Amino acid sequence: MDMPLPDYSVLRRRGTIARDLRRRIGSAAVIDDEAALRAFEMDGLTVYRQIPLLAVLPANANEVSSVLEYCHQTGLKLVPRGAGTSLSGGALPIADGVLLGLSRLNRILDIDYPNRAVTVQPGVRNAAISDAVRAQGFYYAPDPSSQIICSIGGNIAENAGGVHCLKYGLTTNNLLGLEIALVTGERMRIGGKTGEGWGYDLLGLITGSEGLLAVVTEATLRILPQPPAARAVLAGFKDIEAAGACVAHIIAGGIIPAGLEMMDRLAIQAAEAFVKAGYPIDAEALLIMELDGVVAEVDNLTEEVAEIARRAGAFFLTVSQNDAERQRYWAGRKAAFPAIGRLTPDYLCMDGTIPRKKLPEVLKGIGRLADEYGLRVANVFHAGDGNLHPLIMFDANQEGQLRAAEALGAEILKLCVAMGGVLTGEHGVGVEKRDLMPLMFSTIDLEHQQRVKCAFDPRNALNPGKVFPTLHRCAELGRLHVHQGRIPFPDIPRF
Amino acid sequence: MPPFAIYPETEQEIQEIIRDGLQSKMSFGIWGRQSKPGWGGDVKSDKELYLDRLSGISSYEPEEMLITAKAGTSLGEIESALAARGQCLAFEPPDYSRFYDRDTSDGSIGGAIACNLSGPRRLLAGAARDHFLAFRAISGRGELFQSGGKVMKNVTGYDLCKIMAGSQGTLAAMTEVTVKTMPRPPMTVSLLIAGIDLEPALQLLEKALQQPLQLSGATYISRSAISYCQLPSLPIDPEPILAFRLEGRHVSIEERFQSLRKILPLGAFQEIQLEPEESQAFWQQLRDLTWLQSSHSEMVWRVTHPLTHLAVFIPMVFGTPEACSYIIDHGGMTSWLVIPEPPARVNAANIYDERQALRDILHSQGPARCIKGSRAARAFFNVWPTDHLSLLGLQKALKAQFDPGNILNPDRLWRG
Repeated sequence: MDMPLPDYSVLRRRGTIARDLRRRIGSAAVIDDEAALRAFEMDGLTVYRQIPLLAVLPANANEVSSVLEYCHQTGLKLVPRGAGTSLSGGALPIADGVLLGLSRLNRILDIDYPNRAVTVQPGVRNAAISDAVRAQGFYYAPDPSSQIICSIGGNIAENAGGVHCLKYGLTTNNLLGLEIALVTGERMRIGGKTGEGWGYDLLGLITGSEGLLAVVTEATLRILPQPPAARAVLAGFKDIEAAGACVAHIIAGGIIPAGLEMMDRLAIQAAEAFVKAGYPIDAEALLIMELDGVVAEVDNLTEEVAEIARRAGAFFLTVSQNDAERQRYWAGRKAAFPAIGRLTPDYLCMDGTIPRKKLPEVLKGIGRLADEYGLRVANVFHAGDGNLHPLIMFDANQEGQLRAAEALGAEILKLCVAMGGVLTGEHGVGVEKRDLMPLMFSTIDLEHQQRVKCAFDPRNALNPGKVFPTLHRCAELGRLHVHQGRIPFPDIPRF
Repeated sequence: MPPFAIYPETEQEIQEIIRDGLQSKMSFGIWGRQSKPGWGGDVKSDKELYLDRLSGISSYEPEEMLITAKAGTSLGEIESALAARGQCLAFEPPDYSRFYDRDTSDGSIGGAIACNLSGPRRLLAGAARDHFLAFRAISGRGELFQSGGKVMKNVTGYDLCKIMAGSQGTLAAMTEVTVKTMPRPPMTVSLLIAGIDLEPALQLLEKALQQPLQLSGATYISRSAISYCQLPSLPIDPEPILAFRLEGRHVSIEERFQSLRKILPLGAFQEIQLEPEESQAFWQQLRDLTWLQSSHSEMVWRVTHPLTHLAVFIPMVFGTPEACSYIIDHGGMTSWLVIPEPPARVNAANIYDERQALRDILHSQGPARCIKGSRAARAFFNVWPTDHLSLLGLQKALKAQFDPGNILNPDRLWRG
């Protein structure tokens, strides 16, 4: 994985930089000891490691601004980090960059039930929000699988989804306001408690920007009243096509389940061995579905979904009778990744989205590719929205297997794009899929995106080496095309 | 030179036109079906680009819950195609053509997205920007580019759909858009509470929205505004109305309706239940601002604010709210206000004091615009708020990246 070459003059100034930062945010908040820095050398994409120049852990928004201001004045690069659970290398440090950890900004600042809005610092864990408002009958809907540890700031950077996003939206649909710190250290507020701000929708632009445009110092999120009832359905099928058809019929019936997940045989067996949720281990495909709402509606929908599954040929079908059972149905799905982790020394978790109807074709394609590369792949699928997680199993200690796994991963993503899908549904591009961007976007498409970066961070100091494959200098991108030998507006100054 | 009107029929034509415009320093006003002039700032442009001939559904996949259409396609055409398959657009894009006294009915899908227009269901389902998945467009650099993906979950690169939505044609001219669709709710029922004053209405609203009722409409309409509503079930003598909408399956609506009624104070106000047909008509009229009639000396405003600020905000705007015409929609997040234009006074200083004070109040909550009014009023009131100037700097930097020559809808969002 090619990262930008480190600036050796920065490496030589390390001691001075540490001293200067300590003057600003205190001694304990600046980490320069190599052993301690190892804690930050990787995120959830564990195949890549890099010790940062330094790590800083500011205590509040003012200290975040102070660090950014210093780095801006002295020409330093920064890599922001939430909980470090990124699966695409979004928080992978760079050798000459300061790792900016937001974990100490971990306070819930305000809970406003009448406006159904919670304001938090970026280091607050996703699950902590629901925990804080549960007693009053509320919850925060976006529920990525890592929600026990992942941070809200990270969720915003990746536009995190989760099982319930089919019905309740992604982070971007649940974000009402932000305070951001720009690369200069200046902070500004966007939106508030309504999700609407003046001018262009910067809330929407910052969400999913993977730490490249600004640092989140505060976020206001929407909380929802808890649905009175929820029930889950497990349906096992002898073939993928039947499961896919079942999903299509549910959608066609005008039902939007709160959760609609699919697992293939390998994933089912791994999960069952680990958690014993009661999954049918002889199924080629398992659907785990949740219906929520008022009691009468939930019972009605659950019956209908079960009937649809029956007609689609489910040979295994159970419906939860109480909440403990419902949680049990989900336990297997939620533990799918660590369950695979028990079967293999290493695994790569891919993340592509495809049109739902292409699932059987894509899974066949993945099967073929897996055979070609001699690796096993288990599949977990957000059937409601087409987001697919192939889990590629390998052993990094075996010569060439990491490279093979990565190559297989790239081929799978190419297949997703070829089928009309996209490279990433929720894990982000990071470093992992950076070099695959040209599969989806032309040079001109990528240039238009990169110009957004130029408006926020023209020197490319925030999270360099991530998301975009080719580094263009902003002056170069700003150049207008010469048409018929004449430059438009020849008299205005060029930057 | 008078504006020169162009009606391109293909993407390529638009690209050539904009490239030539860049070349010869020409600016463009960009229009869809011209259904809502006055929604944004007045644009003084050299040419007018009308995109309504870029029309037609490119692909519609009900099973995938998305539809792709050329930007100039009428909302009516899209909604018919969706209705035929039992679907609809969750964000309920309004038709402002009658509000703006236009002969053409119906706006375009591109226009709805460019202005981020949403109907009452925004409360539950989100705004246009929440359902906008992908687009093709020609930037102010004369370059054709695309962004997004034809799938519901996509975080590949920056979410340019979010800044395109609501950008009102100032970054690029969209040529094709992809939006999410949703199953059409099988049934719709409304509960209207008549004769309730603003404060108790706001309290009830607050209470109702904290219940798991999945309300898809929660609106307060002043007496003066509701007087323009002709529906048979409404009281003959107009009364202020707090309206709730429930959509979904019959069995679900039953239960939620009863839960809603439980939180209402017993016997304090008249309760009116609207059956499906009348219910549809009610929310459609609300959606299209049918009841916001204004005279030439009045302005119509759209203001965004948190629900809990309204009890103080509305009386600050209107000395006597009971006599005034306004609608509070989206569960208290958006207000539509008919405000008399402060009269011109002989003493110049007086004009600025009163108008300035009003402008400060209107700008104090969140994004606020005068969407109808005299040219002079709109020029005075629709300025960027002074306490968000650094934000404006960032906005201008973004605009400059997409449209360095400022040739697309100059002055539409801010002047200069």
